[in-house]
Amino acid sequence: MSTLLRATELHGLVVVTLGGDEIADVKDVVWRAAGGSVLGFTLNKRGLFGGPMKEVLTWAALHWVGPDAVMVPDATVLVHRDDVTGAGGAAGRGGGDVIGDDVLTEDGRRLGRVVDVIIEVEASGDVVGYEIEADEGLRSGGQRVLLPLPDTLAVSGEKLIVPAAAVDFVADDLAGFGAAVEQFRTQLRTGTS
Amino acid sequence: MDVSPLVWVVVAVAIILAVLLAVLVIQRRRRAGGVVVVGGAADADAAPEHREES
Repeated sequence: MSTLLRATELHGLVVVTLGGDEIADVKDVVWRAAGGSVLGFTLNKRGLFGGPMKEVLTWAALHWVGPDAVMVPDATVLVHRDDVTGAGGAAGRGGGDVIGDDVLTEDGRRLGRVVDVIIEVEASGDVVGYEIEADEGLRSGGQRVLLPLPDTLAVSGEKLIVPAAAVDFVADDLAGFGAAVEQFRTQLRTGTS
Repeated sequence: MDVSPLVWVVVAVAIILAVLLAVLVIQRRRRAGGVVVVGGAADADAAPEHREES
């Protein structure tokens, strides 16, 4: 069974080994522009004065992501950040935070500004949607809505481009968003095949 | 002009508090997280099949 959660809910979560040791705090959620899969997390050292760590936690190394902690088998799963972001980060838009970016449809309509990214937590971590602060025309201005993304998502450049059909599957909360994403992706697949 | 020792104490405390506040602000920014996307269109062309399997 999969779970949907907001990426910003992961910020600051403590990383705990199955042995009970607290080894880090989550800093950034890092996802891959090509395909929209979550690569993993950058980390902060524990404590108020702990700075960013050179090691990162890959999604593949996770035991589970819970509401209060990120569980890992042990501390040896942390790897150097260049092993994760080196090749991908060097190409195109490396290291860009999407929070605050504008969302446009393929037909040039501005839908709003990204305030969060919706992740599906299962065996892999997939980015399935954006939470946006809607512009007038999509909803009443400033209202937050969830916008589904295609499963062949590719992100590059300063603007985030989504298919125009995504507007028909906008949801107001996470409860029904999983179904909306599935319907949207099914329509894209059947419409293009 | 003589300055009261109390003034020096107040100035010192103010400087210490300002430094502490600055450190806390800087540290808060260092620890702030984001939702970071890595890679670009070149990667999209290279591995488009990744998500189609799901």
